[in-house]
This record gives sequence, C-alpha cells and structure tokens, in this order.
Amino acid sequence: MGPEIVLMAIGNDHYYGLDSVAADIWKRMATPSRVDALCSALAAEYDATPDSIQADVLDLLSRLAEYGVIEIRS
Amino acid sequence: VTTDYLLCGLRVRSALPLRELPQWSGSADATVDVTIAEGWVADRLDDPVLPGRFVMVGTDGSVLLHIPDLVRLLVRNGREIRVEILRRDAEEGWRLFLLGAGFHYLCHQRGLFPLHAASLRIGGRIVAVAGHSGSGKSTLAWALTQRGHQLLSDDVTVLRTSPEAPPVTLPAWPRLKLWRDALDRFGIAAADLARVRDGMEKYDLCPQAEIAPAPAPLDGIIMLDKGAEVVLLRQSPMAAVPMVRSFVHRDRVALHLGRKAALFTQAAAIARFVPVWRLVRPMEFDCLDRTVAIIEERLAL
Repeated sequence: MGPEIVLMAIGNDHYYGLDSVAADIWKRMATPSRVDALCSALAAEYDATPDSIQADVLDLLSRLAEYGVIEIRS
Repeated sequence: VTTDYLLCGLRVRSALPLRELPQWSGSADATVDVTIAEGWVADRLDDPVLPGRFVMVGTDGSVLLHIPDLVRLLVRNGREIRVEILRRDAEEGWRLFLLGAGFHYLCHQRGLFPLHAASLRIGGRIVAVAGHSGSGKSTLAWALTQRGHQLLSDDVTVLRTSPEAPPVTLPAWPRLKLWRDALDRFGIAAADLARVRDGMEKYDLCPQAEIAPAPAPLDGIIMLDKGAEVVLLRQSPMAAVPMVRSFVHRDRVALHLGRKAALFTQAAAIARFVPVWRLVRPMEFDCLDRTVAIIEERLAL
C-alpha cells in the first residue's frame, strides 16, 4: 500500500508521503490544534495506550516540523 | 475582422488568422474565452517579478515575451494576447511563439496544466508521452502514428485537473516537429515540408487532418528516459507526483505567476488518478519498433 497523502514542503521542494495513520493526524491538523487535544482525540479512536500515542504523535510532529511543513508553537 | 477558433476547448477570437486551428463550431451565444489582437506592445513591464531578457512577468501576473526582430506578445489575465509582429514575411515565424509559448503562459494564468508531452489515442485510451526537449517525443509519436494510433498533440498536452476526478486532456491541433535525421530515417522528403523556423533542420508534419477531438479523460502517462534496455516501469503514485511536476511546460514563468503550490496540488491530483510509467530505452532508431511493441502490449487491457 502506498501513502495516502503526499506533501510538498514549499520551502525546499521535498516530497513526503504519509501512511493512513499519519494522514489521519494530518487531516486533524487542518485547523491548528493543541498537541494534548490531538492525542486524546486519537486515543478515543485508536487501540493504543495514551503514552504510545503521545510518543508517536510527537515523533511525527517533530519530523514534520523539521521538514518545514508544520510549525509548532508553545 | 476577427474569426473565432477552438483551442483547448476555449473559444478564441482572433484578429490574426490561425489556420492551424479549427474554427469555432459551438454555440454562437457561448462566451468568448480568449481574444487575440494585433497592436503595439511595450518592450518592458514596470517592476517585473521576473525581469528576463526575453520573458518578463509583471506584478499583476501579465507575461511579456519579446523575440527580437520577430514578435512581442503580451499575455494578460488568461483572457487576452496582444501581438506586435516585428517581422512580416511569408514564413510567419511569430505564429510559433503565439500558439506555443504565448498560449502556454495563458494556460498557466487560467490554472490549466501544460504537460511537456505529446498525446495519442492508443487503442481507445488517451496516453501522454512526456519528455524534455530532445528526448525523442516526436519521433516516438510518429512511430506510434505509423501503427495507426491517432496523434492528438505534439510537444505539449494541456490538462484540466480536478481534485476529485481524472484530468481531462484539452485537444490543441495535431502536428509533429521532426528533426532531419528522423525524416530521412522514415523516408519522408524534407523538401515537401515547412521548416519549423527558418534555417532550422526541424520540419513541420501534419500526419492526419482529422476533426478536432473533444476533451477526454487522460488514461496514462509515459515518461521518457534513456537506458540500455527497453523497459516500461509502472511508478507508484508517490513516485509519480514529482515526476509529473517536473514535466510542467514553461515552469519558470509559472513559478513567477505564484503557481508553485497549485502545480504540486495538480501534479498530485494527476498521479492519484492516472497510471504513470517510466519508459527506459536506448535513443536509437533501431529500437523504435520494439519500444512501440512494448507500449502496445503493456497498455492493452
């Protein structure tokens, strides 16, 4: 199965593919949201512990931020 | 005096005769999409975002093309092209730039996607053969027409994309530009043909005078590449996105028109719906028959 969503970082012209779970998170971020709110929404949907969800989300977000496709604000 | 023509599904009203194009046969009440007028064109734009020597893009998104001693074109709003002919002769070299670059800038202004590709109807399916200049598009297209496949466009295939449906090819007019070596190889007498430009060893060929086909969904894209063996490799949609994007024609002007994000979105929409193949083959005339046979075999349902 190929990626569900393809992203391009306008700044560096790199392409990124998101699998179905990452694509779901991406869609949920269409409107800016808080990381803890995002994690609890995912915990209600996916069969995984809140801790592992939070770890996975933070991993994805930090990579997306590193690629320059999202911005993380405190 | 103006005449209405049909080009890429658009009603084009032109003060200059465009004998390559079919005349408009749609409703007389339909809106005129594009007007082409003859008149004075300034040789520069104020504060251009792209201050090129031959091409300028203005802050308002207008595009000026200046070919010294031949023609100046001003393309605005995706709706009008003003043409100042600087050299009038039998050869009418300005036509090449009006129907080529000028029209492709207009396509970008209208949000259309000009793919650097020939297109053909191969066994009922519409297939684009994409390649950069000199990659052998026209030669392969000619070989395919010799097998009975209908040529829809040479060099550029204009697509209308949508996020939720397959892209639609907008037919231009069929002609092929072939270099002298290909003509000799196919046994076509160059003396009977018009040169693409004066002094250039490249010739115009109209393989068939068919009625302009209607816009139709694109069924596949073949991207030309060089290699030792003839192989047709299906690409994943993910891999296809940057490849489709790389074959946007007049890309530099499009970027200066602010189309960067839009072109990516369009390339993604195309790759989502249309199968994309990479055709690796030696660029030798001896390999053409085999290349054509592989395309026919693999594209057959």
